[in-house]
Amino acid sequence: MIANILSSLIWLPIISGFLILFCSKKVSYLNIYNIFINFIVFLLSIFLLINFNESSPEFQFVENIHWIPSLNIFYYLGVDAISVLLILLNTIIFLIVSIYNSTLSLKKTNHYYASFLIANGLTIGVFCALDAILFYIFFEALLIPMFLIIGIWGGANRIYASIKFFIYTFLGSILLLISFLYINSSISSFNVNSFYGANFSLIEQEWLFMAMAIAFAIKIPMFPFHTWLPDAHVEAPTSGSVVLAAILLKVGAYGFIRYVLPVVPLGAMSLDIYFIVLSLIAIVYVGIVAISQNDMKKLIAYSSISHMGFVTLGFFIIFQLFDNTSSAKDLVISLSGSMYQIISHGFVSAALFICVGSIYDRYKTKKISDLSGLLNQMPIYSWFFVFFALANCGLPGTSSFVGELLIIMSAFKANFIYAFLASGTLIISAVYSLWLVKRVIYGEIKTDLKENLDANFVERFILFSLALIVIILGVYPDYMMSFMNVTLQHITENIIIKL
Amino acid sequence: MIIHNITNSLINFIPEVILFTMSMVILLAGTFECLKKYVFHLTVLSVIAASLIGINYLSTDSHLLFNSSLIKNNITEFFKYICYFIFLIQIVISKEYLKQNNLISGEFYSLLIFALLGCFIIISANNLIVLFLGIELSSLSLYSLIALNRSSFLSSEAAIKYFVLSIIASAIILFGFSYLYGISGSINILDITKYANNNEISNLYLFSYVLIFIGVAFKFAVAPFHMWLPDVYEGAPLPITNFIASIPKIAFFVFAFRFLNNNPIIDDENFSKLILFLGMFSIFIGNLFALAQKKIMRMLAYSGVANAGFIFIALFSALENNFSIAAFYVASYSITTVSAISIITFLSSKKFNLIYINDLKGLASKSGYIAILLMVTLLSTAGIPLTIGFYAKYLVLDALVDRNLILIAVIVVLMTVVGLYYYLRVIWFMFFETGFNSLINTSGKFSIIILSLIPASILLIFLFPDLVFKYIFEILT
Repeated sequence: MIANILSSLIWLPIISGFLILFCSKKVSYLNIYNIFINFIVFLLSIFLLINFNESSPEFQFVENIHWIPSLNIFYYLGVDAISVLLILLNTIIFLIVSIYNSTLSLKKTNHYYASFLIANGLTIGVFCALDAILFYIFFEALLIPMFLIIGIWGGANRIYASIKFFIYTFLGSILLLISFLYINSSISSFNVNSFYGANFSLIEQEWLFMAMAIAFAIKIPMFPFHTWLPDAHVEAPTSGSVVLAAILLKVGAYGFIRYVLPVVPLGAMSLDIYFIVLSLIAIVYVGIVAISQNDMKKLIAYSSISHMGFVTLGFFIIFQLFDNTSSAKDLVISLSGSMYQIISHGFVSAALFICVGSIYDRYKTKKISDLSGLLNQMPIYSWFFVFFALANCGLPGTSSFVGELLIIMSAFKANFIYAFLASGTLIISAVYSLWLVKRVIYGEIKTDLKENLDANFVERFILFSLALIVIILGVYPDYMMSFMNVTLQHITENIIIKL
Repeated sequence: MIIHNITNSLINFIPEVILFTMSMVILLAGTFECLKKYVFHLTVLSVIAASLIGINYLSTDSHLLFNSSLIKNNITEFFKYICYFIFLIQIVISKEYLKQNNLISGEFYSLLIFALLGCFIIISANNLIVLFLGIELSSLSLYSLIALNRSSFLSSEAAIKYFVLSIIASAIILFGFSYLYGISGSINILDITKYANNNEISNLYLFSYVLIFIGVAFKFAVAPFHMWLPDVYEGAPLPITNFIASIPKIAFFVFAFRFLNNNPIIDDENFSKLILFLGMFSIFIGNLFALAQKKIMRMLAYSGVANAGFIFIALFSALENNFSIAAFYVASYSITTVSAISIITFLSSKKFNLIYINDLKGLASKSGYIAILLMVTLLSTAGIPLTIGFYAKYLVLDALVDRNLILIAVIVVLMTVVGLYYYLRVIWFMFFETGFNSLINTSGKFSIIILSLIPASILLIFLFPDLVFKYIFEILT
């Protein structure tokens, strides 16, 4: 069981996803089946967390099968602390999404659930694949279920959004494939550990860095490559948006920390200024763009881009930190800030998208200008909405505060201007979050819907558990920090050794 | 001794002999009213019989038959069995279509078997004359098959275009052959290769190779020799398109392989540049033109042009005589195309001919299963993971990167991203649009099972590719 836990995590949802395609059309059975499978996967990931030895920097639960000997591709799985945390985030979000989905009435329910189950398995695959080509296969195959989710169950402009999403990310990932092939052609291995040991000249590293960084920057998304995200979010169904924001963006961030920074640190070092500037543009400019949005989903999408800007800032300031202080500890703090931001944003954005989805279910609109005074009609729901809006702007005591604080602290050590710009946007994020609350929750009632609209039991349960996670992560960050400390130290050593 | 030689050759040639005799029998049976309804069954039986009997005479070592004018080894048999598989699927799926369009006749199946036989002869030919006979046998049968639907204007147009251009291509190939014979003094391809290995490659030798490969480029529909393909795809009856799209490509790949294998010309800078240029140009033209197509067969035709470009790039990257990449590409491409065209054939009926991509809209709501089959097929053609098409593209890119041709790899890759759009467009019409055209045929349990064979194997081979790779790498290196 323990030996094959990663394979079970990957293949259980995928196989059940294919089975559900042939299952009965009766929705109540499908709901139970779907929640049950997601719950089992969640339990497995908890089991993984418990059995994980966080004091060892090595990859654990390793499965290594010579999958395609003629192409030198291995079925090589293994996890370190960051993978475990991301897998846990993934299974929690998919469990929540499956519970949320059971309240919806959809066309082709079994296909919908199948897409989510398959996406669940593939994402876990992305997070534990340690062979570059295996990683690439999961990474790219993940596009197909998301493409179908946006395209089939999305809003009015779904076709444009889904095609844009698919082609944009495919463009990035195919550059990634070429980089992997190039690395393989010089070290003849796709193994991550040999990637870390590879030595390339500066010019090679710069090119490899550009190709891989563009691939992951599209996925995250970073500033000039972000245009697919607002479209995809606006058109995707609520659960699709949740998965997109909470999981898919994190795949890009994970790619940076696993395949870019430790593999081509010299290239990253010589080009880091561009990525820092792009991150700052994402934080400041995209934050300002978010203020002017009238569509709630678009607003949260832009705020996601802005928050992911913090993540990439945390990744790329490490080289300047190294120049300034040359202590590995500062690098670890910066990286753990980014990781914290990744996990925290996963929960907060998921909760916000579920909030917006609930409003859309009741009022059939996502336009801020159409809504007002929801507090009068749905008080409990409004409480959650305000809470997550505050969490989104980094209120102390919530999880987003920890990540942003750590990143801004590190930015001060790297360069005052970065820190100034990054912390300045805390105000911007407060502006768009609170102004959103002011317009939507407070004010006069615009609609004349009389019946009880407040959050139903399922929504309360979902939002409450997300709020609980956000608070626990916010007031007691030490557990997660110490959990990933050794792994991040190991990654930092891998980076420093090559500088 | 001579008698022994002939009998020995004939034994190894039995499948082809069976096909030949049976096509005569089928032609004859078609003329009798009482036997006419059995021509389909006779065809299936004879192809199965030929393939089964052929298994008995499989051997791992190479045989030269009929005074070394034919060759029989693992490579030829591998490709022949792919052809058998494809051919069987094609005729089983197309039966309903032909019946509804009143095209079932003895001469149809007889000509089809002749075309298959011609391709088999191309695959195993080791002699310029025999090779040319094979080309003509398959082409002549195909001319008449394309024009078979006499009431259709498009069909006649396609037949004329194919006839004229194909004849020119054959003439160019023959012209090249004549130079080769003049230079090397032999019509045996092995001797011609030996000549090239022993002597320096002269310009004339190069010239004849250029001529021959222009002919091959025509048969593969590599741009700029692709003009006939969209019209033929559109005009010919769907079962014939299905044939033209797959089996001749396999045959001409073996043709190209036969001429390039162990031949120093492959390292000749000018020649390899020509192949590379044709391949790149074809990928450009195919992908860009396919974007603009509204008719599904024309779109598949241009996608075929783009994929033919990939095959040429795979040939170009065949350094150190490693043709396995190109072989895998050809095999995977032809199988997936057959799957796509077969599904379209299955969906078409007398009442409603599936012509526009538009016509597929809402297919998923009527029959999700068939939509998924077509989606898997198209994703494989586009080279997305979870399908064998991914490995095909992967191997080509890998070879290019290995030869340090990164820029070319990047350009090729960017064009596939462009190409992705038109595959996605079909998928979006099937899954995202509503308003299904109820005239489209989606019934027929047996056909659906047959149709699932290829997509299922596409997915299965993706998961366990190593057996296939090992086999192909072993026979081709």
